[in-house]
Amino acid sequence: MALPLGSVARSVDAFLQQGGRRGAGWSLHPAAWIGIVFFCAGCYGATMAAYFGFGDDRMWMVLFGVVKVPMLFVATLALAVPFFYVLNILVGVGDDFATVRGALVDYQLAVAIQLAALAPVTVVVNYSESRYESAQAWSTLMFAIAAWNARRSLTQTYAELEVTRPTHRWLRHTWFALYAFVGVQMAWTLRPFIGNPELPAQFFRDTIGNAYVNVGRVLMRFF
Amino acid sequence: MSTLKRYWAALDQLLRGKIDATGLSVVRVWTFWQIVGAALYGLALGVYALANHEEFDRRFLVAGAAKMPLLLLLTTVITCPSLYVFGALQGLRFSASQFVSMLIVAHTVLAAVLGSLAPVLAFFSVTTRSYSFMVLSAVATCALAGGFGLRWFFIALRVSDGDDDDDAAPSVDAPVADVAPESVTQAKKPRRPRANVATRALWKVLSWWLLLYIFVGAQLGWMLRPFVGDPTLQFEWFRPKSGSFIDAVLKHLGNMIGG
Repeated sequence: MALPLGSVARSVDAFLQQGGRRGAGWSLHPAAWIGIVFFCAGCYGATMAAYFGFGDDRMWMVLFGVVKVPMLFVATLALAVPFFYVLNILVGVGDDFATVRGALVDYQLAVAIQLAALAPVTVVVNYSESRYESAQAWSTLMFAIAAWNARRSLTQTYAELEVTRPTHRWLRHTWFALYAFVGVQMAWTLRPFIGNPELPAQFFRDTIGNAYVNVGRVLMRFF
Repeated sequence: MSTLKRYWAALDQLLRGKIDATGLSVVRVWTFWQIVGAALYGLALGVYALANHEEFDRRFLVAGAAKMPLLLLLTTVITCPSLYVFGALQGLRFSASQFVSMLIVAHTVLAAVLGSLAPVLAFFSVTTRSYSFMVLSAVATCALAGGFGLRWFFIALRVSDGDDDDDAAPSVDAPVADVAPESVTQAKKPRRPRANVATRALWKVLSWWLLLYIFVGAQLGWMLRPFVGDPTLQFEWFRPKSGSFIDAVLKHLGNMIGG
């Protein structure tokens, strides 16, 4: 069966035109967002991992990158949503959760689409830079920019909800905190995304550990 | 509708501040979800020991899944008599079974929050080596869930005390063990507890009892430990009597800060 590429392009265009919301212009199946997130985030994952080329076992890193970046988004969402759902119900705004869930998905889509759009820039930077640390810093910056920009997808929907129920305001902040808390550890777990050239290609590092404990230990060395 | 669906609907309604368990014994439904939610959370903690021990020992999972519900049920049993006596002395006209039902409501909400946090905890259990981090995470998440549980307890108590301007009150005001369907279908939205509408006696009792409840919960948790299996120790159902809950939390905080 042929992919409805025209329909996908129109839906993505409508999504972007509406400031990162799947409104009336979204002509795809409601679950199609997963495919788009996997494709777009996978593109960026491959771009990151291709920093050291495709020779030897580096092709594996590219394939891992295709899988790991979408996994980062979808797994973080899947882990964080159950508690957020219960929280919404407990504070009395559970009736709005269908709308909230849509906004959370919009946020994922917006980040993934932006990353895909930034992939060509990353290719140029990767080819013009030879230091591993620079590649890491660049991709971190791209993730931060995409995540920051994508807030609009969520805040637009939340702004409407907050008019009638101000509780949504702190719930929105809670979501960002929860998502970041789980997402940081997920990213730490799924690393390497680029892959140190001195180490073999691998899906996970031999030791995973806890991002917060490691960062805390690094910070404590300064005191 | 299948029984499980009806149970699920009853839990959903409870979390929304409504009690709608037509044709079901609400205590049975809530206790069921209390056990399920707490067991899921206990399993998530048990995963840490599995991921960090050389040998696979399923007893870590069994212990986690059994001890968390036990902690909630024992806390109910131990704190309810004092709540009833204090409340009766201060003029709160509730029967012991009504107090039990309110505590069960609170613990069901608490267990639902714990259960919803289980995926996050399980993920950290699999990926974390730091024992102190996991212990502190467990303490923090239990405190968070406890806060929600207590909030629901206050709402149930206030509503049952008639301290509400709506005519329709949730059925915790009715004997719960054999609640008739008609009396459990009344529903209302949860609202923030308001100090100005609570009776003085109610808050006098609650402030003392709350301290007692937290103390009992923490102490029982300490008695039933370990919930997070120390990777340097072999499996044990219960640890011997030593130290205290506060000492342990401070020690793990020190470990985290000091590296």
